[in-house]
Amino acid sequence: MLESSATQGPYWEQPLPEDEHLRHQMEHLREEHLLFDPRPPAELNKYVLAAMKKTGPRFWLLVLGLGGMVSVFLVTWLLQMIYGIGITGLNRSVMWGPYIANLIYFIGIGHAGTFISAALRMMRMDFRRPIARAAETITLFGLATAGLFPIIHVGRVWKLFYMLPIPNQRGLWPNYRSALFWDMSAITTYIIGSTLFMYVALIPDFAMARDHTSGWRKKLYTALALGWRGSEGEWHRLETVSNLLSFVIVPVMFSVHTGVSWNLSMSLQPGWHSAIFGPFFVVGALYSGVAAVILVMILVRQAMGMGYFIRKEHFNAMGIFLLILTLTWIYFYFAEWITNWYGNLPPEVAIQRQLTGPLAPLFYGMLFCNIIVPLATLWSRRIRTNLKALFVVALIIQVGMYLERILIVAAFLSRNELPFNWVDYVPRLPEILITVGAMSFLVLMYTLFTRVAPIIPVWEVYEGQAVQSPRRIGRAVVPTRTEAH
Amino acid sequence: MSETVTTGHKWTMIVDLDKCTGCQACVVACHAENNVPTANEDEVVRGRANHWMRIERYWEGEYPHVQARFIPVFCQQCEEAPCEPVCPVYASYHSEQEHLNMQVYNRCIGTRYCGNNCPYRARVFNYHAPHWDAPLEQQLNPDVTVRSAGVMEKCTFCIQRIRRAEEDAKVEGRPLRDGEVVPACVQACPTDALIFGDLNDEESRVARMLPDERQFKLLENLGTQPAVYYLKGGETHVGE
Amino acid sequence: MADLMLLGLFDNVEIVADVVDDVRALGVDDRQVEVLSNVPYPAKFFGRKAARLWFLPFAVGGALLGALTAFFISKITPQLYPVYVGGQALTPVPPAAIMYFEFVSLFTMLGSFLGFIVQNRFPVMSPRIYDERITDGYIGVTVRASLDVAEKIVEVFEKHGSHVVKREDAANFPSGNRRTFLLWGVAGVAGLVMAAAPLLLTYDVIRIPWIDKMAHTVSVGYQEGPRRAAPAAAIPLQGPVLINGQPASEPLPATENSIRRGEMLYATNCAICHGYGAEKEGATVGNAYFQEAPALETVVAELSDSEIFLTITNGKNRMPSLAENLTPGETWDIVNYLRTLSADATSNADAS
Repeated sequence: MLESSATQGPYWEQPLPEDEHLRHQMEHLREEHLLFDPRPPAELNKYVLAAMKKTGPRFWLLVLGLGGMVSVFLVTWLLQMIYGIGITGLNRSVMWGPYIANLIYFIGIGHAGTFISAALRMMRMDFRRPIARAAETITLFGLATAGLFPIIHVGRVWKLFYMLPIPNQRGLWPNYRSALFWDMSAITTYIIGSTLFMYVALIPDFAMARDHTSGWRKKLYTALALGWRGSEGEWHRLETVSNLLSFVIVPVMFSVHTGVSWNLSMSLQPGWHSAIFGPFFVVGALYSGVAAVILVMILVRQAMGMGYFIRKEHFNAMGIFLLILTLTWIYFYFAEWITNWYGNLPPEVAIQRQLTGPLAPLFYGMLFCNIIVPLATLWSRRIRTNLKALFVVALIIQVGMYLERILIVAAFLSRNELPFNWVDYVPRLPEILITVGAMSFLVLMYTLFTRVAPIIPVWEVYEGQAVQSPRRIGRAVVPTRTEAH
Repeated sequence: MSETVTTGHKWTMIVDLDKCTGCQACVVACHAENNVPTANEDEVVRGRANHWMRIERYWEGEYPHVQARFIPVFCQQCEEAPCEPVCPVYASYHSEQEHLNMQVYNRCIGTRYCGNNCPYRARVFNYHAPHWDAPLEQQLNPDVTVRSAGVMEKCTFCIQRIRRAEEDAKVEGRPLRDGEVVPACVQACPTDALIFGDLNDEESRVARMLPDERQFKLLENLGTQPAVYYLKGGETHVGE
Repeated sequence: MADLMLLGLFDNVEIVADVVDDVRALGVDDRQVEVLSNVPYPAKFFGRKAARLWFLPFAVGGALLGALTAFFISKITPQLYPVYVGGQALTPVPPAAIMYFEFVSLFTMLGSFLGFIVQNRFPVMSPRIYDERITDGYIGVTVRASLDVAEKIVEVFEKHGSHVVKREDAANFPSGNRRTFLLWGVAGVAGLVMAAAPLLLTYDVIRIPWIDKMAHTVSVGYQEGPRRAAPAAAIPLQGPVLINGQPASEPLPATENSIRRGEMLYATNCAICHGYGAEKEGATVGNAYFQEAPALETVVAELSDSEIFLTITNGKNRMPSLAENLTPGETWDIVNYLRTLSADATSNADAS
C-alpha cells in the first residue's frame, strides 16, 4: 500500500496493471480523467505552445471583425463626450441605464474566475486544474471591460480624476462616504489582486514557454518568467504566495459585487433599498460567471484543440456547480420578490406591476432563461457533458442574467415614489453600440491573450498527474485526491 | 441634527395647495431666473424636460367625476438629504449655516447618483449643452452660471437672491428683513400660494403660519426632513 | 581551488531522493544542493528541509500600510476640508470599515507579492545553471562542490541514470543580487516619479486646456455689460476696451454703501490672491501657478478708475477675468473700495 507508484522511469511511463480486469478499469479511468492520463510534458508543452502560435486567416478575420466593433465603440464614446449623455435614451428618472447594468454584468462574469482558481484551490478541488487560467483570464478582461463603464457613464469624463484620492490644488479630497468611492476602491483592489494572483501562477508557464520558443517570444517570456528555474524554494514560495493571495482575494471578490450592489441599495429608490442586494448580487455574479467560464471552456477546447486538457469530467463538474448556483439564485430572487410583494408598498408594487405588465416579455423571458432552462437541462449528466447543449444553456443564462441586470437598473428606476415621475426607458443606438462594442472588446482581448500566454496552466496539470494516483480497493480501481501539501 | 436647529437662517417654503391653480407661472419664472435651458418636444417625450420646479398633476376619481390636483414640486432642501452623502466629489453638500442643500457645478462630474437617490426626483441632469431658442438667450440672468452638459443641477431657493439680500442688509448694517428674499417662483405666483421666509425668525410670515393643521411634508415617512411645508388643499376642482 | 557547479537530470522523485541521500553521504552540505522541477514537489519528497519563508513581515507590513491609507482617507482627509453631507457625521464608522477592509486587502496582497519577488531575488539578472529539459518533466539536481568531491558526485549522478551531466565553473555563476536590487531600485524610483507626475496636473503646474464650457458662461453681461463695440478706427478686440476720455461703463458714485459692498465683494473675489486687511498676501501666493499678486495699494494709485475696472473685467497677466463673477455695478463697488485703500496708504505714508 505504501509503495511509491514510480520506482522506474518518469511518472508518465508507468505501466498498466497486469490483471486483465484492473487493466480494463485503468484504461477507462485514463479516458475519463485528465489527471490519470499522464503524457510526457515535452509532448504537452509542444501541444500547448503550438496552439498558442497558430494564427490562421480565420483568426485574423475574427480579430479584424472584433477590432471593427471596438472602433465603432470608441467613435460612439467620443461622440457621446462631445454631444453629451443626451445621445443615449436616459431620462430624468432613469438616470442610470445600460452603462451601470453593463458594469454589474461584466464584473459579474469576472467573478467565477477568481472563485474557481482561488476558492477551489483553497478547497483542493482538482477539477479546477486545467480551467483555472481560462477562468482567471475572464476575470481580468471582464474587470477591464467593466472598469470602462463608470468612465463611459459619467457626464464630464474629463473631470473624473476628482474622484481619485490624490492631493490637489483645490484642497478637496473625495468623499469616502459615497458608495461610488467604496466601489471604486473595491474594483481597484480586485483588479490589482487578481492580476497579481494570475501572474504568480503564470510564472512557471512563462518559464516553460521560454524554454521551448525562439525569437521575440523567447525574449518576451524570458522577461516575464523573471528567471524562474523551478527550485524547491521557488515552488514553496509560489505555493505560499498563491495561498495567501487566495485567502485575501476571496473576501475581496465578495466585497466587489457587494460594493456594486450597494451603489444601488444605499439609495432610497424603492426596490433597490434592500439588505439582500449584497449577497443576491454576489450569487448572480457567480451564476453568470460560471456560465461564462463554461462558454470559454467550450470555445477554447474547440477552437484551440484542447480536448486533451478540458474533458467531459470538467464540464460535468462545472455543470453541477452551475446547477447549484441556479438554485441559489432562484432562492435569492424569490426572497427579494416576495418581500416586496408581501410588503405591498405602493412604489414597489408599481415596479412589480411594471415587470409583469408592459415589460412582461423581458421579465418572463428572464425567468425562462435563468430558471426554466437550467433546471430543465442541467440535472442530466448527458446534457452536462454534451458540449453543444451545454453551450446553448450557458449562452441562455448569459442572456437571462443580462436581462436581469438591465431590469434591475433601468426598469426599477422608471418607477419611483411620485407617480408623476414615472418615465419609461427606451434604449437608443449609442448605448447599444457601446454595449456590443464592449463585449467585442472583451472577446478581442481574450482572443489575443490566448496567443500570448498559455491558456492551460500546464504546471498545475503536471502536478496533479505526477502526484495523484488511483488506488485499488478490493476489485476496483478508484480515484483519490491530491493532498501532497 | 434635528429640526430645532436655531443657528443661521432656516429657509423655508410653504406651498398652499388650496391656492395653487396649476398656472405654471412659477415654472416659467424659475426658468427665466435660473437660466434653466428649455427642452424641445422630442426631449420632453423622452422624459428629459428640464425643470427645477414642476407642477405635478394628478387625476382623482373615475370619468366623468374627475378632478385634477396640483402639487408644485421642487428641491425640498432636505435637512438630511439622501442626495448629499452619495456624491463622491462633494458636488452636493449641506450648508450648515443656511440649512440649504448646495450643488457646486464645477465639482460635479456627472455620476448622476444624487439624481437616483432623490425620492422627489427634483434633480435635473444636463443631458445636452444648454440651449435657448432665439431670442431667449438674450435674457439670461448674469447672476447665475449657465451649466454645461454633464452637470447636475436643481432648485437652489434662488440662492443668488438670498445672497443679494444678505449683502444689502450687511451693507446697510441691519438684520435681514422678512420678505426681503423672494425667490422667482414666489414672486411670480399670482395667488400667493408660495410663501418663503426664515423659520428661525419668529416674526416671519412662515414662522407665524406654522404649525398649521393642514401642514404636511412630501414623503415625510422617508425621514429626509424637507424644508418645504405643504398645506393640504381640499377643493381644487377642475373639469367638473 | 575553484568550485564546480554540477547539474544532473533524472526521471523521477524516487531516484532524485536517492541521489540527494548519496550526495549528502559524500559530506556535501545540504545548502549546496538544489532540486529543480516543473512540478511543485515539496522538499519533503526528497528528504530535504523546506526553505524558510519570510512572508509574515511582508503581509503584515502591507496590512499596516493599508490600514494607514484607510485611516488617512477616512479620518484625515475629511478633516482637511470639512464638508457636511446628509446629516452624517464627518467621519462615520461604517463607511470607514469598508475603507479599512479594501485597503488592508489591497496592500496585504501587494506586500505578499513583493515578499515573493524579494525572497526569490526576482528577476534573476545573471546566468544560472539550468537545463531546458526541466520544464519537460525531468528533475534536475544541482550541486556546488569543490573539484575533488565533484568527481564523486558525477559518479553518483551517472550511477542513478542521469540523462546529462553538466559541469561548469562556479565562477561563471556569480550572485546576481546586486543587479537585481539595482533594477528594483531604479524601478522603484521610476514608480515614485510616475506616481508623483499626476501632481503636476492636479496642482495646475501643467495646465491642459480641458473642455470646460462652464468657464465661459454665456450669461455674462447681456443686460448692463460694458460697451463691447470698439470705435470704427480701432484695432478690433474682443471684450471691453478703454476709449479715451470715456469711462468703460457708467461709474457708480463712491457712497458709503458702495464702498462697504465693495469691501465685501473684495473679500469674496479678490482676497484669495491679493490679501485682505492685515493679511497682505492671499492664500494662493506661493502656489506654483499663481505665484504672487501685486500689493494693490501701490498699483491702484497709478491707475485710473476705468483702468481698474477693465483689469477686473478682462483680467491681466495671470489674473483671470472676473466678468462672470461680478456685474459691472459690483465691479465699480470694488473700484470705489480700492480707492479708499490707496487713500489710506497715502495718508499713512504722509503720516510717517
